[in-house]
Parts: sequence; C-alpha cells; structure tokens
Amino acid sequence: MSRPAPTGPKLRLDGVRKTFTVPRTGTNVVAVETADLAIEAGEFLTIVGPSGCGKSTILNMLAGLELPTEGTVAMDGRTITGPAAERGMVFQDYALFPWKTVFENVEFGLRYGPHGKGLSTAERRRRVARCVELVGLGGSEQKYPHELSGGMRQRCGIARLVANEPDVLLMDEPFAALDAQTRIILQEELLRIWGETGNRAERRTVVFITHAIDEAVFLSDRVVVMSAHPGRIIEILDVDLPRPRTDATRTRPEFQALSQAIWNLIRDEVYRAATAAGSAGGARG
Amino acid sequence: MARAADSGAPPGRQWRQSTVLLYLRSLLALAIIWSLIALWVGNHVILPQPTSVAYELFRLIASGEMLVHAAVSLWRLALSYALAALIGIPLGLLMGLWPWASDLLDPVVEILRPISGIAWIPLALFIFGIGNELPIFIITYVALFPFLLNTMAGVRATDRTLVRAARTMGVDQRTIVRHVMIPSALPQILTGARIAGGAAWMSLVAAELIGAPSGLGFAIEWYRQLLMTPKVIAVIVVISLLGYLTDRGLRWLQQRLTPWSTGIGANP
Amino acid sequence: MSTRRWPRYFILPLGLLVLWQLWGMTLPARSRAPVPLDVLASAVDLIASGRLPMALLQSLGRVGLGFLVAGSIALVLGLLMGFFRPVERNLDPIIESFRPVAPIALLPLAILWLGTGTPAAVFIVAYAAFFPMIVNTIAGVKGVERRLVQAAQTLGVPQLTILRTVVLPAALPSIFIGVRLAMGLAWMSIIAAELAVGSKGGGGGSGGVGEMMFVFYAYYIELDSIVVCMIAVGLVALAIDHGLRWLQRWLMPWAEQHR
Repeated sequence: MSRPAPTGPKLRLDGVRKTFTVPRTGTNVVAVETADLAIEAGEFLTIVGPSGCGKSTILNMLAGLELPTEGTVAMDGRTITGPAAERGMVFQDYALFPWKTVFENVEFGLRYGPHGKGLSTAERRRRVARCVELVGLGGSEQKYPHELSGGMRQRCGIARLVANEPDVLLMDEPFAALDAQTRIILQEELLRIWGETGNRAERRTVVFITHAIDEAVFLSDRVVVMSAHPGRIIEILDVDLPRPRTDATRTRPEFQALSQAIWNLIRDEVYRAATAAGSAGGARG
Repeated sequence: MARAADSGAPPGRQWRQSTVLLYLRSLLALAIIWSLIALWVGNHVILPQPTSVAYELFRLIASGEMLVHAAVSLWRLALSYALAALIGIPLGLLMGLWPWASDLLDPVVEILRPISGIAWIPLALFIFGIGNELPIFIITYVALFPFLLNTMAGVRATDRTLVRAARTMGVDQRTIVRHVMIPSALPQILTGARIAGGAAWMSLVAAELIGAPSGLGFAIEWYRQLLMTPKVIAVIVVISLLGYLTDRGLRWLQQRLTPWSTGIGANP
Repeated sequence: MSTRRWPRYFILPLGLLVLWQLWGMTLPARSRAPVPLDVLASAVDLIASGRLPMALLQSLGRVGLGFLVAGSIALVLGLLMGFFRPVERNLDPIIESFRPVAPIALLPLAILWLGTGTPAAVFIVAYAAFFPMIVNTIAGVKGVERRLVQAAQTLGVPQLTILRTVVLPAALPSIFIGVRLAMGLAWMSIIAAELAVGSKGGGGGSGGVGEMMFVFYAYYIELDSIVVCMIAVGLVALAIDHGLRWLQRWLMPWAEQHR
C-alpha cells in the first residue's frame, strides 16, 4: 500500500486549547488546556483519564468534528479543518444506522463516500463481505442493528470503519458499554484486525479513548494520561509489552506495575470527582 | 418583562431581541413581495395592497364592527369549549378508571370520532337551522374528543408504582384518584385542551361560514360577497391572531398548572 | 377473558340503534327524520347507483393532489430548514405567521382567485396539509441523533448525501406522524371546502362528497342520504389512517422497536 513518505508524525496537536460557552449562563469552560502531542504512523495510542478530562474532545478534534479554539491539529503536516474519510471513527454508542442492515451499514462509507469511488459494485460487495467476515459477523449480514447484541453491534461498527480503509482509526470508548467478558474478547480481536501479528509498516494509526486503565495498557504502544478541570495531559507512558498480546500479558508484572502507576496518577482526582458528583454536574469530556 | 430586565440576563435578552428583529425582517420582506405581486396583478378585488388591508383593519376596529363579530365568535367558542370540557373530562376519568365504563362507551366514541365535526354541518343545519346552536353544537362535538381521549389516556398512564406507593401509605381509593391519578393525568389533559382549542377554532370558522348569521366566519363570507377583499383579509388576520393568542393562552395555562412537566415536551 | 367482555362492547351501539329505530317509528309518516332502516336502504341505493363511490373518489382525488403538492414542498423545505440553521432562521417567522390561519378561512379568497371548481378545493387541502408536514419534518430532522451524522461525516460522506441517506431516513418516523396528521386534516378540509363551495358558490356543480351532502340538505332534504354520507366520510377517514399506519410499518421495519 503506497502512502506519502512521512517526514513528521502522522497526527500532531500543537498548543491546542478548546473552550466551550455554556448556552444558558454564557460562561466559558475550558475543556482542553494547551495540549501538545505527536502521534507516529502505525502507532496504537490510548488516552485515559477521568470523566470530563477532555479526552473525547481531543478525539473529536482529531476527527475534525470539532475545531480547536487555539492552536492547530494536523495530519501529515496539513491542518485538519473538518471530518474526512482518512480519519474514521468508532463510537461508544455504536452510531449504526438503524434502518440499514449489517451489510448496508458496513457498505455505507464505500457507497456514499470518496473511498468507494472507482470500485465496481461487485468489488465493493466483496470488500464489505470480507470485512464482515473479518469481525466475525458472517451470517448476520441481513440483520438490523436492533437485532444484535451490544458486542455484535460494535463488531459491526468496527467493520464499517475498516471497510472504508481510513489512514487513522479513532475509537471513542468503543467497549465502554459492553460487559466484561465481551470486552476482553473484543480487545484481542481489535489487535488482530489492526494487524498485530503482521508487518509493522502495514499497521494503521489508532487513537483509542478509554477510562479503563487495564484496557489502555493491554492495547497500546503508548498511553496518554489526562486529568480534568481543566483537561490537560499530565503524563505519556511507553508500554514495552511484547506483541502479540494474549491473556498471559495481563498477568505479567510489567502490566501490573504500569496499571498501578497510571492509577496513582489519576486516583486522587477520581475520588474527588466521585464525592463531588452531582454538585459538579459535569459534562462528559 | 420588567422582571427579566431587573434580573439582568444579557444572553437571554439579546437572544429575544435578535429573534424579534429577525421576525420583523422576514415579515417586511413578505409584505414587500405581497405588495409587488399586488402591483403586478393590478386588481384591487383579487389582491389588494397590504396597506389598504391595514387601513381597512384599522377602520373595522375603530368602528367597533370587528369587536362585535369577534365578541360573538369568542362567546360561542368559550361556551362550547366549556361544555366540551365539562362533558369530556368526567367521561374520560370514568373511562380511564373503570374498565366497564370504557367497554361500554369506547365503541360509540370510536364510531363517532372519525366523522369530523364538519361532516355534521348539513344534518345540524336541518336540526338547528342557521343561528347560534349550529356552531355551538359543532364546536362542542369537535372539542369533546381531545378532552375525553387525553383524559382517559392520562389516567391510564398513571405510574403504577406511584399508586402502589400511595397504597402502602394506607391512603384510600378516593384520595388516590384525587391526589395521585388526576395530577398525574393533568399534563395530558392539558395537552388535550390545547388540541381541542385548535380544532375548535378551525371548526368555528367553518360552521360560521356556512351556517351562522354573525361572527368572524360569517364576516369573511359576507365581505367576499360584497367583493370587499381588503376587509376579507383583515378579518382573516384577526381570526389568525385570535387563534394564535388562544393557543398561547392555553400554553401559558399548561405551564402554570403543571410546572413539573416542563421538561417533557420542551426538548430543544 | 376478552370473549367475556365482547358482549359489553355491543350493548351501547346496538341499544342506541334500536332506540333510534323505535323513535323513528313513532314519528308521523311525512317526517323527514332519518331512521336506521331508511338509512340502510338509501345506502344500498347510493352505492348501487355509483353516486356515492364517484363522489368519494372525486374528493379523494382532490385530497391526494393537494397533499402531493403540499407534502413535497413541505418535505424539501422542512429538510433544509431542519438541517441548515440560516434557512430556518429566515423562513421560520413566515411559516409561524401563516400557521394560525385556519384553512377554511381562506376559502373565500380561494373562490375569488380560483373559482368554485377543483383548484380552489385543492388549494385549501394543500394549505391544510402543509403545516403538520413541515412542522413534523423540521422536528424530525432536529431530533436526528448527532452521532449518526458524525458517523457519516467521518466516513467522508458529503453533506447533501448525508441529508439524503442519513437525515431523511432518521427523520422518517416523525415525518410520518406529519403525514398522518396532514391527511386527517386534509380529509376534513375537503369536506368543509366542498360544503362551503356548494353553499356559497351559487350552485356550481363542483362535485365531491361534501357538495353531495349539501345538495341533499338544500335541494332534496334527504336526511337519510346525508347520514349515509357522514358514515362514508368517517369510514374513509378510518381507512386513510389505517392505510398510512400499515404503510409506515412496511416502510420502516427497523422502527418497530422504538414504538
């Protein structure tokens, strides 16, 4: 697959600040306070932090769904001004089109977006079928989203993303609404789909948002830790666990130590947020 | 108004001002287009200038003629509306609370409901003749169903846990109906009241147009026969304005009577 | 359980019918008051002669035409107004100022402009159907889950395609509420329009079931036939609503779980 030879990082946040105006009162709230971040091509990067730390805001800015108040967000050195097919997204609440079947959902980007241009209908169908198979949804092509379990819905969301072949995969707490077992299975499958066992140069860039520390450590090459009020990056940690990662990875002492370290970074804040919940009425980050 | 200014909420007030400005701007654009079309048509009877409509409106109000028509219409409306509420709400409560009542009455309601009030006009004309009774009958009939059906649905939709909660406090059935079921049905009853208001206005105009010797609906038709189009449009404007104000009034009542339910229908 | 409740359903309607018939039999022979058995006889006559079906078809045709005109304008305008804020801000005041105008009140103007034939009736129907359609289309578009639009955006789909492929289907349930309200109102208005045209148009044979009722009232004083027309009007209203509900289920199998 030919890609422009990257001279710099794949994605870059430069002095990014994001403020919101609360509609009723007119007060300004800082969602993200001056963030600098460089994300390398082929890297699996996870952002963790308590609610309201602005991690979703950063992801939305990378997607182009929101624009920074100050600073720039760039991909391959070009400033991001809006959403595009190069940066695909998976949503926590799946965001599947309820009136389309699994197959039609996966087909959506190729059919109506720029990445399907030049594909014949047969080629497009073949690619969609391959992606449906890849996420393990073979046999459910003609089902509607409401007929699927949460785990299957998110598999469909991932297939829709992968079928469109974006350069960058943005994932907004994709497994947060799933039960613990489904979650562990999907984490491993996500790494398989990403191409963990294959050639490093073939892997896409992934930015993954989660509030689960173990998930962040298990999946990523690097973990960005954020804190809330105002949302800012407090630490970036390398995860030097060998790939491919398996069940055994979770029991390794490095895994435990790293998880503990991240927990120590955000613990105080999580406790504070938990006791102040209700009075703060915080908007989710 | 004064209170809003005192409390000093700049964003809210700014917003209101800009909406009013926008509103006036759009209406002005509309008036200009209307005026240009009228110029092009060049026939005062088919499409008069907006200014001559405004002038006739002013004259009709100043001479008291409009007041007489409006008073007659509003009186008929108020009387039939009250009648519909007085019949519809108790009947709806009865049908909502006791299954045997709804088993008995529901078929009749379902048979009558699809027959619109307007379809009753010829028969009612024969029975009542041209006069007050015809519009009053039609409006009462039309407004009855929203009152009845919404009261019934509201009572039936009462949260069972609330009723159980009241039971566990040892409260008797009468009190439960009075203090749990009726208040919990009130938002929907008031929604019914608003629907009834809208339907009542519409059929008032139709009934007066065809079968009344007075009132706003009669006035439009009267001036049309005299080919006084500016006056026809002036009366239409007044009808619409009164219809709008009635709805605003009922909405205000809804907010006053059920302040706890503002969150339900008011999603942005 | 329900079989035991069945008899109760019939008590009141049948009882009223019998009372009505008995009351009719006490009347003097030259009375014109409608009586159930006479109504039945005149129903058979009106249907067999084809007069009632023809009149109903004519009225339905007008409703269909008016609805088609109003519905397509309202759909396009509503989609644009719901999706693009500036369009809404400028058009909303105009729509809101026309909304309270009762369609029937416009009838004299319609007669003045379009005469007493089909165009005036279609105009009234279209006017009546327009507002429920546009209001519900706008509400439907605004209620579209933002995530769905964003999902399409991150797949690189252009705005106008999103409007067609995401916003329109997502708003469809709400649009259908508008369609059902609009058709109910349209059917009501056509009767009113035809009645009024019949009564005020100076006997111009405009046709339709509304005019038929007026003719029975004004010229023949056949009250039995009027009652037949009233029942027919009610049945058509029911049929329209049930047909639309069926259409809704057929068009939107995915929406089943939301209701």
